Amino acid sequence: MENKILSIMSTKKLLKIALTLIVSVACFSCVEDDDYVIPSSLGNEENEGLTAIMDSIASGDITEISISELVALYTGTVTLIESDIVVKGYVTSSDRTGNFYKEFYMQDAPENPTAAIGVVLNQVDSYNQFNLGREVYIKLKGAYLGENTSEVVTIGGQADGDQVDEFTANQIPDFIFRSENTMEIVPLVLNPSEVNSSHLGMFVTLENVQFPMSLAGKTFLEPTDDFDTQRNLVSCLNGFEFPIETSSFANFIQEPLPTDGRGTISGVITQSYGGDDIVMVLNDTSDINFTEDRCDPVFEESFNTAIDNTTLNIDGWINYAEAGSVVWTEQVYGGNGYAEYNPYNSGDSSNIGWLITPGIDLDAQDGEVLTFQTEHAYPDSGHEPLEVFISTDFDGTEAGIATATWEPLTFDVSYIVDYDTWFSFTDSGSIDLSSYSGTAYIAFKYTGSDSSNQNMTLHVENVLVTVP
Amino acid sequence: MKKRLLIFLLGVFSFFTVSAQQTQIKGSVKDAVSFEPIPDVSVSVEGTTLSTITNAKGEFVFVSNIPLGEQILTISKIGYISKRFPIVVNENQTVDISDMTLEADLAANQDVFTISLSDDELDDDTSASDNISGLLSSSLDVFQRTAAFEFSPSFFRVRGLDSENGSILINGIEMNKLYNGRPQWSNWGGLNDVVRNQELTSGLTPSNYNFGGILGTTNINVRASQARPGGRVTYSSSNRSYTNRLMATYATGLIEGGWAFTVSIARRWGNEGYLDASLYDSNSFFASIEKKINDKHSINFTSIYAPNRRGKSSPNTQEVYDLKGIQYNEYWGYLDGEKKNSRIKEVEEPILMLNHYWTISDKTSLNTNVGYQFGKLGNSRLDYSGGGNPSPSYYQDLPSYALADPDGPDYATAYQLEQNFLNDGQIDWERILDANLTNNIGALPAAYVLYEDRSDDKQLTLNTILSSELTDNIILNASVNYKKLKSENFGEIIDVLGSSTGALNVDSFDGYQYDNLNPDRLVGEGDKFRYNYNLFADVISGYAQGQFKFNKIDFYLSGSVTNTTYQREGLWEHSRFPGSDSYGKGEELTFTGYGAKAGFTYKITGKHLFDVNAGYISRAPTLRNTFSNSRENHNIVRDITEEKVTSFDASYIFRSPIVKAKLTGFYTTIEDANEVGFYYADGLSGTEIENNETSAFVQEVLQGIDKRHIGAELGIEAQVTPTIKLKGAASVGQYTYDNNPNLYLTSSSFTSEDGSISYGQANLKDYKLAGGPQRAYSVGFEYRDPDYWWFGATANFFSHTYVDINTLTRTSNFYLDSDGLPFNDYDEELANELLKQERFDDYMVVNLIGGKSWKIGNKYISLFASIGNLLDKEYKTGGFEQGRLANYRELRDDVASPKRVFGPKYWYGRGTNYFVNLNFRF
Repeated sequence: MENKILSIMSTKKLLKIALTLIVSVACFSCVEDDDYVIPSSLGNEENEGLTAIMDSIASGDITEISISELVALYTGTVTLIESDIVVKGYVTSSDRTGNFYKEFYMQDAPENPTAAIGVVLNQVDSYNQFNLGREVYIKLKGAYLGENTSEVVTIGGQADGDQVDEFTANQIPDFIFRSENTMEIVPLVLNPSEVNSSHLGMFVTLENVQFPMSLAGKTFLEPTDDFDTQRNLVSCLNGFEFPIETSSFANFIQEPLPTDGRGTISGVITQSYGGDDIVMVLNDTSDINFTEDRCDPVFEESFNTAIDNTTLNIDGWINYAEAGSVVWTEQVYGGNGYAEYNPYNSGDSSNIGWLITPGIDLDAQDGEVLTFQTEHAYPDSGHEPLEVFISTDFDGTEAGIATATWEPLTFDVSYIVDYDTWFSFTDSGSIDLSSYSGTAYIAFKYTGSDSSNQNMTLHVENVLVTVP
Repeated sequence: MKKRLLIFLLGVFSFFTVSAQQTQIKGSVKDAVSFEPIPDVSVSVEGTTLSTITNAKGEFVFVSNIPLGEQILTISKIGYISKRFPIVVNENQTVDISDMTLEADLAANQDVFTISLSDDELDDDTSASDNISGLLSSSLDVFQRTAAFEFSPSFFRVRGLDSENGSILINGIEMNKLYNGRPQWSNWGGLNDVVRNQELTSGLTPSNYNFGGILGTTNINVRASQARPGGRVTYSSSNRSYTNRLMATYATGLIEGGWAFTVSIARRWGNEGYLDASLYDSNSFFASIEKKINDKHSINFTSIYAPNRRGKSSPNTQEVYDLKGIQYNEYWGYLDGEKKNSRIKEVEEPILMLNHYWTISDKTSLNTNVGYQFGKLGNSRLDYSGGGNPSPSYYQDLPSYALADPDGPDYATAYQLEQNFLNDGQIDWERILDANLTNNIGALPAAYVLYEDRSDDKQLTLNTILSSELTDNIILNASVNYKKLKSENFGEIIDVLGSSTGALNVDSFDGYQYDNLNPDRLVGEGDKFRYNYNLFADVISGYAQGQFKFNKIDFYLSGSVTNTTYQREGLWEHSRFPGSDSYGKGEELTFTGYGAKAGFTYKITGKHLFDVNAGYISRAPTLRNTFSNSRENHNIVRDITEEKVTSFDASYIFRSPIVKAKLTGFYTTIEDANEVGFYYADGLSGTEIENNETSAFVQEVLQGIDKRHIGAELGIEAQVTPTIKLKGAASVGQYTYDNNPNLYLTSSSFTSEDGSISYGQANLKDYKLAGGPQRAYSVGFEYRDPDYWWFGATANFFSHTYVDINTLTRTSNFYLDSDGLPFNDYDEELANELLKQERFDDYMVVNLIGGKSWKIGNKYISLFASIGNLLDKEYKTGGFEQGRLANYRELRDDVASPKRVFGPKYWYGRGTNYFVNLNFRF
């Protein structure tokens, strides 16, 4: 545009001046340009720090100890470390989603770890510096060894009462050094029931687990919780429950729990605030791989809808007194519901009470297993009141009980397993139903009377038919 | 040539009288050097109300109401030294004084001063300043000049009003932005040589171009034929905003074949102004071509292109200023040894205009204009969706945070933080780059990116302006205007800062999808980010005006009608506001505004005059104040309606050959205004916030605000000797909220359906409006030596400057706990103390100016220098209460801690600063 106008104007003077100016302005004056080239010096300072440590280790001025050695140094009180030692670890946690806050965990090896430890530091979003799998060296002289608020052994920069407190932002560059290595952390694969305090701080995969259907539609955070929410996983192997703990500051708290499958879930094993429970804390929900079908029971009755001290009347169930006046009742103790049969004080000379499940379809799957639990009170020596039967030709009516074919099932019952102990639920053991087909009914039959030695109280709980 | 020189040296003029039938005064004015006619020179007969301006040939004539006897004729024009000519008027004779000459004001002090200011302050919206000096700098009125040049560095506002109340026109085309009503000064920054030809009407005084706002209208005339022929090269050096400035301009004036050309180029640059890392990088180009087709028709084409980039500077808390000084800026850090500012404002909005001038008759002219402006406006900032807050003065990194430890002051940590902040205290670019490189390892999205908030406007303006002298006493003005705007608003990533993955286009705060139809998208450089929508505006307006001039009284009546429509179009669906709440075209809004004004000047005698004006304007709210959360949804400010402005002023004017003075009283109210602002609020009450939080990033909507501006202005100047002039000016005002407007917040974090929470009335009545000192006084002198050197000094006093209050704390949210009941420990007396509006310290600023000019042949060299704030006074020009502490307990605890963690943030004025200008004219 300028040029066009200039050419129109033949004024020599103008041309001369304008051109001189354009040239001079163009030559002048570079103002800060707006590119952000990564400077070649980036990270030099940190590298020098690490090199110095490695040199000191080589020369023997500093001793490198393992995480397990370091953890073993913990005596139960916060301690200032005064010796020239350094520890190396691989970061197992990430605060990217906000589920960890101003802390990270590291374990002693990328794979098959034997020990892990926590690090607390006054830095948010430390994942973008001490990233998952990063090899980290911590100079320990001047640092503190103690427990964090979850009572996991932890390194920090200060002491705060009986706990270790964060490295301050100023301390971090003096104590924590990264190497250039970021390793893939191969998770330790465990069943939930195998997890124990030796795994604290490690990155672990729990196998063959799922969330119970009762959590369907719920999110990671229970809206009524102030800080953290625990959501129990259930093992398909043995029903063992294990909590996933989520901070209310995590960015995925609004995501619904994945209840449409089972599979593996990976996270850091740690403890809840105050150290009460061992829990798993997720780095990210992408570490949940519930790609297999659920392992839900073919049939399940937890009796948790029981109303205390009422005649048992659960939909589909048959509660029938073949002899005497006593029927099965619903009971609730300590918030837990169960079924009870108790002929005591009935005055009956004979009591036979049937409790029969609704029909269970055994054709829809293979390999069904029945489990239930029993407990007893006021044991009567020699009295074995409970029989458990299965029928595949029962018509589902009280009248049909007498004509149906009832095959007895073998199981463990509390008064046999532990005769003297009252009120302790005992697993029945796995009862194989795979040889049955069609619609099956499970019957619990109590036989006794209101006479001494024949009237022990019996509880039945958690009747489950599953495909393990 | 000889004659020219003679005229120049002696300042003589020729006049003679001839017999005629009627009494008249006529004459012409020419440039003392080039001897070219000068148009638009004010010519008046002292002691009377007779005044006129010269036409394109530099001619003027008075034919009626001419006083007889010895009179003094004054001629003046901005950029020239005014002259007074004694004349004798005899009945029925014509006084013909042709070829009066005006010398260019060699020192060009006014120009230069204007230049230094407009460069420095006008486009500096990084601070709270909304500078009005550009509206006033061409004024001849001593008060207005003082306001423009002496008061504006203190963010003084005339009558406490924003610049949206004044119109800036270039060749009759309004340049105020529809977004906020304010002119974007930087669109023509650096082109001082070509925009100096300005015509100002102040206040409600009638303009020949438009109805105008209550602060008046400035029309910048860039017609090539009216530019002063010749060339001009200027170099300037300063430590205010840019370091260097080079400008060159050449204008041919009207040459053979009826052509006229003007070109101007300029560059302003510097790595750092007065404030740290406030870089400046600006180029300006201007070209104007005019073709005079015949005596009746001229066509002018103008193009203006002034791309510029400026580094912004931060407001800071007092704690930060105490530690780092008043030049501290938190927005930058060193990268590879260079200062990098993370917040750059970049404006690149070329203007093209075509103007047709049609002289229908001696009395009537019609000016038709087409203007088109397009380009981009960008403000960069760091997004830290995957990293810690990069602000070096983040509250947790300052000593006050450790001192406010709930367990008692932690002096050790406070000391550490203080040392750290003192020794570094800037953005850690290396950590930012390292964070992204670290995230690259796990293919994670960028922790930090640099992005730009963009407004790319395309605006077409068409108008036609009629001016007609119906009789000797009546002038009719009228115009019809049409404006059409499409404004594309979006975030755009300008640097991924080393990330190889890109940024996740998701709200990291609460997980919402910015672009729900392309969820979880990774975006890289040049990609749109965070929000993407268009705003459309159509404005049709017209005005008509009659100006009546009589012997004793002049008066005018003016009326206008404006129809405004706005519409938002969401290009992305925001997952918090799905479907038609955010996506596609929203509701079309229509506003109808009316304006009426009238006023008169009554001349008691030539020395004593009264001037009275009254006006009423209802106008559409600006786009900015119409949509409550335009980045996320279509929502419109509740109960939105036109703003109503009522203004009244009365002046007494005294004019004698030695003393000129003007005293004005004014009263202005603004009703039904809205304000939309946004910030991070902490301590909110109400159960409608996600996860029972008490904090959220919010848009605050104040709706139905009434304001009252009342006060008086005085300007006085006295030419005590031919070389010494004394000047004084004062503005004493009280600008307050005049009602208790409703306040509500909107946020994607709120669970209510439209994402808003109402807080009822904000008890703002009688709180002072922030925005510069409400009282300002200036005294000074100018000494003008006959040997073409001069200097001047002023002392300026400022008082009654107030902090901008956090309106949320003036609602019930302040004393209600999150359950909606008052705090059980609420102490009303203490609350009153906490909510008292901070008034800044009064202060005095001394400014010096001086210059000298030389004439070599017919060329001029002039040198000008000014020193601002000679005594290096530290003073606060403005500030605002942070939105963080929204309730009684939080504010109480913060105020009670040894150092406030969330104290107000302030802007400080510049310490001692200089400006030097060397000008060569040929």
